[in-house]
Amino acid sequence: MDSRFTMEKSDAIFDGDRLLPGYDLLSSDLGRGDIPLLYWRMSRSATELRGIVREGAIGRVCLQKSGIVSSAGRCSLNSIIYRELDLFEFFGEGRIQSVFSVFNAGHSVNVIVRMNTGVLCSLEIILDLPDNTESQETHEIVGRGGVASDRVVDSQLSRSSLYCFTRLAGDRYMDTDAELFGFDAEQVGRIRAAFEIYREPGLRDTWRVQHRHLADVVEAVGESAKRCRKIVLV
Amino acid sequence: MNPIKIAMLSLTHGHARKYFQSLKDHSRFDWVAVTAETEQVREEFLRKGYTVPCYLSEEEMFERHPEIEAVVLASENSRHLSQMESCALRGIHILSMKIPSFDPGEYERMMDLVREKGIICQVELELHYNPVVTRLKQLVLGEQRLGTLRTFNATNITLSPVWAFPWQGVPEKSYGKRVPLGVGDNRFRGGCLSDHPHVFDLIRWITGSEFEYLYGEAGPNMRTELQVEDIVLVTGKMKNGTSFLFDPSWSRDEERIEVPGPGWEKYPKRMEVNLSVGGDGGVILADCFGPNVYYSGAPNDRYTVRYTYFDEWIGLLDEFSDCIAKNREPKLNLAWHWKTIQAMNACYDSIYGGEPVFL
Repeated sequence: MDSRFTMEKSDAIFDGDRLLPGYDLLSSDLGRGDIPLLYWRMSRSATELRGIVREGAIGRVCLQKSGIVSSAGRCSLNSIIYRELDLFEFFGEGRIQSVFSVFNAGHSVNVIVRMNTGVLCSLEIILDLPDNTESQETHEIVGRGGVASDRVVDSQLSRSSLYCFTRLAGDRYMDTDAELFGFDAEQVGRIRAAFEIYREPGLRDTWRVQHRHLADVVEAVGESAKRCRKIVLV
Repeated sequence: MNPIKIAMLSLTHGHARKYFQSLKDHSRFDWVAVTAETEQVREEFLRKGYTVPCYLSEEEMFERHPEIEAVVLASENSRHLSQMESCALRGIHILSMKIPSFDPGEYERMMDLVREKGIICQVELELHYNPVVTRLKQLVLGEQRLGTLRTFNATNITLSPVWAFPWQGVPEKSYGKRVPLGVGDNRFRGGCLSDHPHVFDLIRWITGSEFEYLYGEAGPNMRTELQVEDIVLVTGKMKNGTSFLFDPSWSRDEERIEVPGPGWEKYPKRMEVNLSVGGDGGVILADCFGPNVYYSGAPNDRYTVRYTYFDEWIGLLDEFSDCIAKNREPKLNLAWHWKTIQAMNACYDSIYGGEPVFL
């Protein structure tokens, strides 16, 4: 490994750049070397869903829905809000115009979003799963010509590529990347996002600009719940 | 090490297009030329916008590009031997499609050429570079999670590629000659079974054993106009006692289009390799190409699987370049692969004779 590269608990440092998941930079101003990684955009399912929309296979998008069920020990509400609102914009190529949100005890939030393209979106987050339970995530995009989703029809739970049933336990594995075999999906995304930053020189600025926008949107989501009213972003 | 100068010979095989982006992006290869067998295929390739010259004559390509060090042999099965001879004489390394030949004499000639000329010849069996198969190997071979294996069942089912790649429906081109499928059967060898060697290969790796016997039967064709088989089931045992059932059928219907693309499939999933592996320690169920993302919509308003995790060609090319650089024999070499071809021929013999065939 390049000696200029170091890994700390939750971030990576390379040549003075601090590569962090964007939501980890919400609580402070962006430093000069801070690069917010929008690594969920690198996931293959996100890439394919976006491709389906861009190719026009489902026609003009009318509705986007995201549902996240996880545990508070695994992630924070704001980190999921940040990620999922970015995915709305990534899939639909629009910009969030307004939000209306309802929080409950810091463990759940529902958000209705309107994009500047007119597309309506819903985000449901529940963080009441026990810590030892696998998260469930679903993304659905509804167009005038069809529907795209990362959840197979007529099912409630996410699936894996391999299930191992033995007398001791039942394990499941989701292996998606032969080059980065052994890393989990989040690690794969972060590694690929970091590489992309250095492969595509313009991406660093693009993601920094997007981060600032997302920070405003996340704040608006919180403000909407506090005031119980729709917040329009300018 | 400088990137290896590589070319593609013919663009006739269904897998040819899988290499385009991989060869363009791969840092260890410099993609310098391709040949097409017809003007139509050449135009189709040029429309994709790759800045690689495309020739209609192999001789012309080799004359103009003496720098070529390796080729991907992406032609119909019946052309493999002559193209291998042409490459071997020039000392050019070869990445062959999955069926070098079904004919023992031709196959032996290929092995002789590779040995005499000291070139690398790797057979393309891309499942080895699939992350789900990697996990399966780790759990079964590394961690021995299943203990002693008893069963290895697998599907390797697809739509039929014949309308896009007509040679796959011509017995002389896919099987190498016209051999009746059975007594009184008006079909011939060269269909779905000839297209699907992967699970016959994989079971040998996972069990570390060879075939003891195979029993095959062909069903009535889904596509009555084909002169080759499209429904086949195979069962049997390995020498270590592992039993197996394989389904290598073209059992997923397709639109009869000439250029593969969106809307090709009628059934939502155009290709599947699912494995059920059992032993005295438990069972593993694996989907080598799933889960995916899904959609309905254009072009035919059908529910469709959008393949999401599918990059086997990167690992396959990594190994090919490594073998060339280190003058190392590929794990999927001709000698290894011959026993898989023998097993597939035994299936055809069993279908013909109605009895199991012992190897």
